[in-house]
Amino acid sequence: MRPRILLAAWLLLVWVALWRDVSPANLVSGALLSGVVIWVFPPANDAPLGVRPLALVRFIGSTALSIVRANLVVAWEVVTPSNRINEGVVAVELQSSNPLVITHVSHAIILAPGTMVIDIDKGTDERPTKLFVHVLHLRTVDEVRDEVLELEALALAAVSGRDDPDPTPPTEGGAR
Amino acid sequence: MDLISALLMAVGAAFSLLAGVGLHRFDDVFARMHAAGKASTLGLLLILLGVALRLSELGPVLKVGLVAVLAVITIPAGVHLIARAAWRAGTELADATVFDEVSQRRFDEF
Repeated sequence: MRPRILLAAWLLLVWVALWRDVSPANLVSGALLSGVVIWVFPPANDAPLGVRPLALVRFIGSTALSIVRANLVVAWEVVTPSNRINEGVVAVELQSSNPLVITHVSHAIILAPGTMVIDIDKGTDERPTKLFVHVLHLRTVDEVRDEVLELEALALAAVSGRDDPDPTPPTEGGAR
Repeated sequence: MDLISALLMAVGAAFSLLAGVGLHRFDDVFARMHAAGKASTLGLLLILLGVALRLSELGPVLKVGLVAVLAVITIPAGVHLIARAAWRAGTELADATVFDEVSQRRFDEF
């Protein structure tokens, strides 16, 4: 599926939500307007994407859960007087070089408990993309890497570009 | 229903307060961004959920939902940009910060 189709759907949704009414007139005007917006500002990267709805739901669900866990972790750290913080910065090499996948992974990392992306070294053909992840409670470096790669696997299962390796849980319904 | 909604808003406000306390208490920019970015996300979401429960029409609920989605999309981006700016400017980190080799090299570049 091309990103501009998804973008159009999203713009239409925003339009309808802003008007607070799902009427035919709103749908038509919103569709026209999103067409114009995308025509004037075409997305920079319009390579076709594989989107798997089921895996996407799982990615969003796990991210939503981690928002809650992240808050409890940080809130606990704030209210307890003892300081268990052990900060660290870990570089993690990603498998994918697709900007959209990298964006999704970084987002999920920032929403996950105690981790935050502070820098991205965009890879080239020979060099993989590296994320620099700041950790609030560092135990071992490998643990952080495993966590990030797990998130990447979830993101890759949900959306993938043409050059991306096949995700580990193979196609679970949905079009490629 | 009103009780649940009030409870959600109170808990949401409490999380936002904790985010503020965290900003004050933590050691360096990065730890502070953890507090600002995370505790405030759930706080906002809970308050919005409380608001949505009190609304009787679909339209305004859609709008509240839009606020929630946009917040979840934009807060991490803002947190990342502040942290990246601090990192590239070579801000002092907390003394106990641990680096692995690659990130140490990257840190020395800036």
